[in-house]
Amino acid sequence: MRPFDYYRPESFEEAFHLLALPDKTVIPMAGATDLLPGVRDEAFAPDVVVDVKGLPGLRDLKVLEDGALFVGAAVRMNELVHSELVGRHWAVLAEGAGWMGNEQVRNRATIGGNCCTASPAADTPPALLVLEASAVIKTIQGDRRVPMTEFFTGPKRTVLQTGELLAGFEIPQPPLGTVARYVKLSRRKKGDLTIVGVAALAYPQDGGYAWRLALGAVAPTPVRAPKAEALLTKGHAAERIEQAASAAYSFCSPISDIRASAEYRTAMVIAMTKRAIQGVLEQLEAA
Amino acid sequence: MKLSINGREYEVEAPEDRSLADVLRRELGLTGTKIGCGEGQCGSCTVLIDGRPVRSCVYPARRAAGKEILTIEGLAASWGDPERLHPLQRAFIDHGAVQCGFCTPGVLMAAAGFWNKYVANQSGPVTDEEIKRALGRNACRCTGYASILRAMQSAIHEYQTGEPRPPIDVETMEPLAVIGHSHPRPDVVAKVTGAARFTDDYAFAGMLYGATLRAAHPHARILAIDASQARALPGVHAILTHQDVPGRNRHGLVYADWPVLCDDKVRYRGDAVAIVAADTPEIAAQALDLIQVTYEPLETVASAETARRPEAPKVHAERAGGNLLEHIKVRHGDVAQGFAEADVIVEREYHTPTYDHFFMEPECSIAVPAGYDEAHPKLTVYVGSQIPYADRDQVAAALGLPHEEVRVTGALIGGGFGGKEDVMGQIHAALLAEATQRPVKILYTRAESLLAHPKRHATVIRIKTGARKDGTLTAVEAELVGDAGAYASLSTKVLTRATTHATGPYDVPNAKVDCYAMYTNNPPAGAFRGFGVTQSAFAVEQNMDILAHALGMDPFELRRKNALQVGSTTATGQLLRESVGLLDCLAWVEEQVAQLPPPPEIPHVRIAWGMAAAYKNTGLGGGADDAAAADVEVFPDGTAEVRSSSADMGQGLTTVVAQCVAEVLGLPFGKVRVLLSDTDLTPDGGPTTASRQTFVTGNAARLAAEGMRQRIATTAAKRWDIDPQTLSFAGGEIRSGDRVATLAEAVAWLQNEGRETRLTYHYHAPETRPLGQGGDMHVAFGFGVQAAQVAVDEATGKVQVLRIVAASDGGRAINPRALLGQIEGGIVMGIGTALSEEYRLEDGVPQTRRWADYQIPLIGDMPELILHIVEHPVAAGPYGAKGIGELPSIPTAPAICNAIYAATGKRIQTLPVAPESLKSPGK
Repeated sequence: MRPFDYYRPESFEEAFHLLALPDKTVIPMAGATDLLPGVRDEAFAPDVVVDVKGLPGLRDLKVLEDGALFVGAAVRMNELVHSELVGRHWAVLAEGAGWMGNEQVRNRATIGGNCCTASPAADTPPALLVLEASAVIKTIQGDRRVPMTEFFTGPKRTVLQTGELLAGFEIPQPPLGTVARYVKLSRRKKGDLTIVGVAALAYPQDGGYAWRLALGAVAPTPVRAPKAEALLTKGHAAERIEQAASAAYSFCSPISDIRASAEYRTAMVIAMTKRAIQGVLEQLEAA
Repeated sequence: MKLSINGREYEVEAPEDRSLADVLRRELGLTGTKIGCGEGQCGSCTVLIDGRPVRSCVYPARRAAGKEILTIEGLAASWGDPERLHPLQRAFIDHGAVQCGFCTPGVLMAAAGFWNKYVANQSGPVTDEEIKRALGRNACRCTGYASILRAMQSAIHEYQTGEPRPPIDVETMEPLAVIGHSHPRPDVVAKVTGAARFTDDYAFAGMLYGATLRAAHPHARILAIDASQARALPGVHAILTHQDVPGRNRHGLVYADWPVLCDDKVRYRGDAVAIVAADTPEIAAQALDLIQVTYEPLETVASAETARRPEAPKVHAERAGGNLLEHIKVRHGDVAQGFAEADVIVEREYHTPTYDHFFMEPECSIAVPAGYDEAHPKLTVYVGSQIPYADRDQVAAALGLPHEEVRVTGALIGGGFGGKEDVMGQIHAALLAEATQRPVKILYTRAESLLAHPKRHATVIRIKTGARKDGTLTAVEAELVGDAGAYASLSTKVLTRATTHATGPYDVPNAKVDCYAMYTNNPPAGAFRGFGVTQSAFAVEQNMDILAHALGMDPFELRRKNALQVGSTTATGQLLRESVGLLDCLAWVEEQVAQLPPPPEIPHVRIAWGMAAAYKNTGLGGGADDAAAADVEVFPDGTAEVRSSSADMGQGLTTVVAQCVAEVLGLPFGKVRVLLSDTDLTPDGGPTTASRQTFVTGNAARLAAEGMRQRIATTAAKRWDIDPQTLSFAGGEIRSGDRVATLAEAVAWLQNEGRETRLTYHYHAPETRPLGQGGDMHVAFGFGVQAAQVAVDEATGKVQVLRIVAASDGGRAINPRALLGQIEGGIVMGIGTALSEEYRLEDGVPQTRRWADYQIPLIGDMPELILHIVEHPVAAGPYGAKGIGELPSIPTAPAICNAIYAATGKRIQTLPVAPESLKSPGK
């Protein structure tokens, strides 16, 4: 494996300095579950790796004054899975995180890494999308907030510019009575990359329900499906599952790869969207 | 750093970045913890840290400092009494949950974590689902998980009630004194306590670590190799290329066409170009990066079909036949006439991909140079090999030594399935050991194992089957094209088996089968459980299913109508005179399927049954001298030892030969020791392949013991002045009328008379005929029938196998539980063949690069298994045994595919099953 220099800064000043090292390929690292195999396979060739786990606030998992949840970028998947705090209002995020990798990968991999890697197939972005989370980005000039709907710009690409660091996510508290689910299709039951992942969320509104849907692994980035959401929100959801699933499908431009062909992915958008909606409906009815 | 392991404190000097598994194994010699993948995937390295299961191969050792580490070596003591086993360990033994034993420590530790956290605080029953979740990501390639699940339930039951669950029993013939009893494997205690030693568990003073530079292209001319930079790296002791091979720079089990180190060309991505020996594996890997090889890339021959095109580049330029390695033919009757008589003709094309064996233990060889120490007067290679004598001869040839100057000593084998027949690191380790005059270990990573070793042949099979209205088969015509890969390996043999079995286990009066074994730039293809028959059965049994549907006949009825039976003649012209259990298998499976309650209905899930039959030869056949030798020695303490260079790769040969010898000498099973696979200490048992070892080495052991028994009998008869015929051997005693002596006393008599207490028997299986000459091509065949019940999710097309009902005729069951273990493991492997496994290549470049890229079945994929043993003994087999190693894995995939057709109306012509082809539109 190609050698590189490793730094673990404890302040953002130090980190920004390292990120700006001239003539060096500098890559920030959190859990390294993607970076290190990538270096081994020569997909990445960093001269310098900056470990962000020691930066202030990156391991925070706390409720803010306005009731929103702050999740630091270096919070690990299994911390989300087992967090009582996350389970209170944001359980769909824990559900997404629980699908990722295997136990030991989840012990290391972070939510920030899961998003910055920007794989269209990642398991936490659909949940973050339906929870209407924002990314908190640190720059030398100060903080900026980017809604997750704008965070991903393409496969393996985000709004993050060179020299910027993801600090974490602010996730508003969902309305009272919210139910959300994440369903995923992969070749195996667990521990495999996503063929299609769908997060669905609904909450009571005007005597009916308002809906949010987000999909992973079916387009260059994880996406919301506003047409499908509108269909469900405006009518009686149980009768519009087919229509909504078809509408979600119209948003997709999946690719063929080792796991599935584009045709199959597209068809599975319908199947899995239906399952996600049905799962939420069942819970709403049971409530 | 300080580590607390199994209640003991250790002070370890090791670099910061070492994994816990590596430190346990390399620094502390706690080799019970195994590394199967190095990626935290397979679970063989599981240990407990503060009571929680952790994959130690990806867990930094320094993080374990200050915590309590429990490894397999400490499991028994953690339960209280180091002299007694943990209930889980005992249950694994009693229920036959241990075969090769490589995954066993990891499975047991994962089970122990579950036990501590859950079972110990649980008074009610623990469901199978809970156990499957706890062990969900611990891979086992041998057992099929069924026995592991039963062992877990038994241990839990015993903990809660004081009573273990009885091991499952199957109906078998009346057992003899030892034969027919399910004795546990002699090495099983070592395997559940971490004491069992596989090759990588050995270390020698002054040992260096070897590594192999692999080809950068699937097909390229080598223009130059510059190793000067690598040689200059401190810690590097030797770098060898083709110029440093003193003997024959080729190896191969049939044709020596495979370079030890490539000279003019590389022919697949796993080809070895240079080898390095260094102080540590890390330095060796660094040195590989510094070797500069200049290539001229050549056009890749990426498939067998492209290899056949006249304009295709030649993989072996010097061969007159181009890329055709062999054209194999079966001619029987008159196919034109046969098809003319047919009312229905079915013709289809089937595709099977390349498969990897995925044995749990990656390849490892250690060579110690001649004269290195007292224990090694000659060049010695430690290796878990399926063919130790062939390894010895191939090492000797490459080093230019007479074969008696090389010794191959077998370590335990962590699974083989055909994948450990060809030489991998054996010659390289020997070359490096001789060059450095130090012991050298070459251990493959999982990635290297996947890259280098031979695979199962990818095939394209076009097959046409004709039948009359009443279902009588009239003709089969087939063309098979097999991807032999870069080197011959066992391709000609494997594809001969695919060809001769292409009529299925049926009486087919007219057959014409042609098979083309083609060289390509893919990994060499060689032996793999099923040996070609896996591929042809996939095609044959689906054509039979299509025929049954076309004729409106029940698939069991169609098979019954055509089934081989005593008196039938196979397509190669062999008259079957005995031991054809196919009809019994058909009857049992059909009856079971009819009796089973239907599963609960699930919306949007289609559930259906499908079935398939199969047969598989026992032994090499085809005119080969199918020989095996065994030694039996008796000792004055009343014990015996049996020795043969035949491999136990987990299948249980050790138990079989011990049972044969114990039966003959009237000894309790525990009084017979077994020594396998040492070319200096044990005679040649031949290759462990073709489901042959129970038959040939079982016979050699039995007949050696018979000779010894006769020797003892004549001595005793003389001493007692009786007719030797009146002597009986039982319970460790010999007896005639009221005269009794222990075997120990009898051995002392032999010694006093100066008679040898050791006897070697060279067994030769009954003569067979080459293909094309008619007559007996094989000494025996195993038969099997399986029915699969599958559930297909209409929306996603995902398939789950719910149940497999299987009847298998391997002749007499010498050890019924071990035989069941072969059946269960074979079936679950067959599920992987059908649904999930595929070694992917793109233009000769493997896309399956590491553990996580290949999906072998896990415990959650295991269906309900309903099993039956049919015992049609064969006269020449030991106590009537034939062989069972391969048969049970063969009918599974076609049975599943036929069930998928019944559920969805869609015919699977390409493996593995693609869910996307099965989803219903609009669901």
